[in-house]
Formats: sequence, structure tokens, C-alpha cells
Amino acid sequence: MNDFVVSVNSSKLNIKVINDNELTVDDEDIKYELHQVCDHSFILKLNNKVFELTSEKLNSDLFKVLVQGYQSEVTVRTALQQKAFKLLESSAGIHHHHINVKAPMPGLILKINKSIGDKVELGDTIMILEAMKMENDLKSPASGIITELKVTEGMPVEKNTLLFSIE
Amino acid sequence: MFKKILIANRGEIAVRVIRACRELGIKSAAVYSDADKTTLHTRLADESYYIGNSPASDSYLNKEKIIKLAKEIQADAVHPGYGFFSENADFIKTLEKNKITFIGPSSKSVSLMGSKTEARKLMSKHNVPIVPGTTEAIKNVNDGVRISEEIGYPVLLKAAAGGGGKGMRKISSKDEFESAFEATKREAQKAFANDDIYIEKYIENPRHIEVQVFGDKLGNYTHLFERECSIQRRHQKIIEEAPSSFVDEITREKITTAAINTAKACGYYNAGTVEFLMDSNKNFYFLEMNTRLQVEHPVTELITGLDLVKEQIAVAAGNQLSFKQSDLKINGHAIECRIYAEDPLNNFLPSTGNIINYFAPSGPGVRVDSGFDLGSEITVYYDPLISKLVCWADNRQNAIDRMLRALSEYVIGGLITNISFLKNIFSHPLFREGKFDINFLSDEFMKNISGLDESNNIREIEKISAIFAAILKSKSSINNLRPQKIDSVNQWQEQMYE
Repeated sequence: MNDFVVSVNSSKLNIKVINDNELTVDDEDIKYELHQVCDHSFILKLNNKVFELTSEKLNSDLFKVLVQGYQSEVTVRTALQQKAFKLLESSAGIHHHHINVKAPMPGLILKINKSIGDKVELGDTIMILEAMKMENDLKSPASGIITELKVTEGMPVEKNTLLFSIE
Repeated sequence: MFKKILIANRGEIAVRVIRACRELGIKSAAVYSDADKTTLHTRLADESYYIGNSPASDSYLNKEKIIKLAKEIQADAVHPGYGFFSENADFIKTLEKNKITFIGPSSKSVSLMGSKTEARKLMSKHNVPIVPGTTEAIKNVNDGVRISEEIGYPVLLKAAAGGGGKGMRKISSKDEFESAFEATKREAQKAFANDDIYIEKYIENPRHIEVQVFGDKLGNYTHLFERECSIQRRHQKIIEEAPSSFVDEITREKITTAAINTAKACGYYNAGTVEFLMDSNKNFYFLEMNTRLQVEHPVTELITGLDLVKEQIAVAAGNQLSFKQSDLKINGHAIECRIYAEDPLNNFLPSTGNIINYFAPSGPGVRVDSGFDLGSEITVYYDPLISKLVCWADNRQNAIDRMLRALSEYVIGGLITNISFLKNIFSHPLFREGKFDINFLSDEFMKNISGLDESNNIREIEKISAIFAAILKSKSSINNLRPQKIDSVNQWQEQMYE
């Protein structure tokens, strides 16, 4: 059945796609029409409003959607997949979160603010990457301890070069 | 008149110059690097030449290659656009030696105004008010501290060979000065190959007001009114307007006169911009002169009805300016915003990628100067400017509302842009009332930026995105008609106990 639990940012919606023209969102009935214009461009009519959307499919469940100037990542799971995901999430606390942070673009490491063993908070600036004529603060994606520092000040890096790890 | 112009630039400004050439019946020759292979300027030019690898030093900033090409293809003039070679006196002189006309000012004007300390010295001799400070480079820390104490903290330590807001540091005390002195010199050496630094008084909450000037080779000078460029982030302009809602007729008379005196003082011809800082009492101080066409020139074009690039070409060819000062009037109000490939919610980290969807706004009073469209690659090698969205209306409020309308129509898919961020600025009451200065984006606004998205509107948009994704997934699962088995649930359970 096309019964989905859809997550976007912190919102969760229950969406049932009934057929090519009807769906429900949290039990609200909506008439729709979807047309594909070209590779990534779509026209979606919901009741009496028409929207233009740009979409990139990241994997079978994850879509990057741009509509009305707003971009978001949307996860679509069936009810069964959602149940399994919830089970996985609740057990994750047992394991250590090991996070590897990679360079978002090629550039030069200007300054490193932390050392191995430092305790950092979510959002702390760990290092500064110089790219596109500007300085970019690379911030910590989580709170934890720096376990690895793979680069040094003055080092040039490629996109996706491993920079540092946090646990 | 020239037969062929080589445009030594890329992106939207290359497109701009090509358009003027086309309208004047002059052949346009474009250059492009690897990253720009499929971009708009290569398609619009009459001739397009591969100039080298993506890094600017291999391509757009390679003097030898550019001049060699200009000679080979028999270009009789070169338009430098902005950035790259536009303010490089050495490049201008080399062109002159090769009997190719540079579309811009003389190398002498460029050199004079290129050194910020020399420019300040020149201004103080010509009745143009300058920001209190030094007109010579600071020799040592002690001199610097003494001068700072005379001027009064806070002060700004600036690179003499810098400009465009780069290479500056604010200093609030003697201790800070001592520790910053060497660091600032090092940064200046690295960025501008010159470690001369000077001091200016730090003016609290100033506005950035600049005046467009235009001279010809026959000694005529005009001004094309002012522009307000106070909405900046880290000294990079984001929104510009003409005229300034803060400048009254009397101040306009004074500041445009000062700008013309500046142009005369350095024997300027072609397009140039004199930048000033203006305090809350409408006192203004010379900051620097940009001896080139500026990014924000469209707002001046829209309120005066002139085509500045065509005028640049005509003046470079030796013609008199096509207009007189008395012909010029301010008509309506124009606003420009720069569309950047960057993520405002992630510290404005530059965004790179391929443009997979592109739809630009239009309709009454809407102008888009873009260098890119569907299929263009935005890379790290150059600045992240995608396009300029410029709106004109009969007054400032209507121009702002028109800009909001235009921003809501603009679609750029495949990268993150600052379009939503711009909409927030144009909706902000202080911006709409004209109550801002160059610190607008660093205090009031940025503090609340993450809160800006918490609105009903976002919930609606999330709902639409969710519905869309669900429909897409339902269409793909029609093709994968594998019923959910109990086994797949066990697979999840197994992974849990890894």
C-alpha cells in the first residue's frame, strides 16, 4: 500500500497515496496531479494551486526538494520501514557515535582551533578553511571529543578529504 | 570605432559587455576556462576561445595568454570587466605597448588611486574630505600607537594596497594595536604583495555611499548620482540602491561635487566610482576610488536611462560623452541584490554544483544580469556570484515590493542560494524604512536569522515537499512490486545487535 510516514525537518506527516489523482495527508483529502517537465523539474497541482518543484533523488527514501525558494531533505518511509527505523534509533544510544568530518570543498586549511582530546560543543568552530576567496568556519556537527586531526595549518585539501573525527 | 573587443572576464559581466558589443555592431571575443566551458558568455559571444585551466592564474588572470590571444585574433580593444585585470596598471601599460585600447581609465589614474595612502594624500590636497587618519604607511608600532592616540580609539588598521573591504582590522586599545600590528602587516603582504599599512579613524555605524563618475578623453567630467551600498556582509556588498534614501538634495550636491573633484584630481576618464563613508549627521569622508565599472552599475543605468558599457566603449574610442550633466535626472528608484551560491543557514558556506533547474523572473521593471543558467557549473575557483536581480519602480517602496515579487519567482535548483535570505532582508521593517548602516547585517539581523524560518509559511512548504516526495516514491514502488516480507523486518533487528 502506498502508506508513508514522511519526515521533513522536525515535521512528520502520514501520507497515503491512493491513486494518480488522490491522496490524504494526516487524513486530509487532497486532489493532485503531477507532471514531469524534464530531468529534475516537476509541476504539482494540489487542489487549486500549482507548484513548480526541483527534485534530486539522493537514495530510494531520501529526496532533496526545492519549492518556493525553500530547500529541504525529505525522507519517505513505509509504515513498516518507519517502525524498523524507530527501533534502530532507540538502540543507537548504546553505541558510540563516531563522526568523520570531511572537507565540503577544495581549499586551504588556514587555522586549526582545537587539538586531539579537546571537548567540543555542537557548533564550535574547529578549523577555518580558505576557499573561494573567503574564510569558512568549519563547525562541529556534534558535542563530543576530538579523536583525530588529519590535517595541519597551511595544508591544501580536496573535496571530501577527511579533516577530523569526533566521538 | 572598434571592430572587435576581447572581453577578459567571465560570468555575468562578460555577458553584459557582450550585449553592449552586439548592440553596437562590434564583434565580441570571449575567453573561458575548463570550469566555464558551458556557461552563457561563451554562447553569446561572436567568438569564444579556451584560455586555460580553471584556476584564475592559469586563465583569466594570465596576462601573457590574454594579451597573446588579443593580438592573434586582432582585437583592437580589451574590456576587463571588474576584478581580474580591471585595476592593474601593468596590464594597461602592456596593452598600450601592443597598440590595443584598454576600455577603462589611464594606467596613471589606476596607479594613483590604487595606493590608498597616495589617494588619501591626493584628496586632502583637492578639497575632498577624508576619514581622519594617516596618509603615509605606519613605520613602526610606536608611531602607530602615538597616531592612534591622537585620532582616538577605535581605529582601523588598513592595507595600503588593499581595497574592497579586504585587509582591515578594528583596534580598540593600545594593547590590541601592539598585538595586531605585525599580524596585519603579514596578512597585507600575503594578500596584496605589499605590507604597507595605515590608520583611519573607525567611524561608528556609517553608511556606504558611492558616486558614479564618468569622464571622457576630451576633459569632460560628469557624475551619475549616488548609490547606497550599506547592506554588506563581511564588507561584501549584497544589496545596492540608487538613489540613497538617506541623501537629501543639499548633501547630494556636496558629495557629487566632491566625487567630480576626485576624478579631476587624477585626470580620470571612462567609468569610475568614488566611495565615501557617511555618518548619521550626513558628514561624508572619502574612502577610496574604484577605477573600473562596478558590479552594481545597473541601478545607476535604471535611474538615468543610460547604458554605461556602451558609453565606456565610446569613450575608449575617443568620443565625447553622449550626455551633458544638465541632461541627467534621477528617475524613480532602483534596487539590486546579488544572488550568491552560498548557504546563509550554514555560516554562508559557498555552495557548489551544477544548476539543474533555472527560471529567472521578469515582467515590468525586472532585470536579471546572469552569467549562468541550466547546466552551468558553479565551482570553488571563482567568487560565488550567480546573477544580479535588479528592480526599478517609481518609488522605493514599490521597488522593494517588486523585488519581493521577483525573488519569489526566481528558481535556481542544484545549489543553495541566498534567495530566501534576501527575501528576509526586503521584508524587514528597518530595511523598508531605510533605517540601516553598514552594520545592519552583523548585529540586529544576524542574531535573529535562525528564527526567521519559524513561520506558518514554512509548515505549508514542508507539507508540499512531503506530498511531492511521497508521490515520487509511490510511483517508483509501483515498478518494484515486492511485497513487504516478514524477513525484511528481521534484517533490521539483526543490524541492531551488531
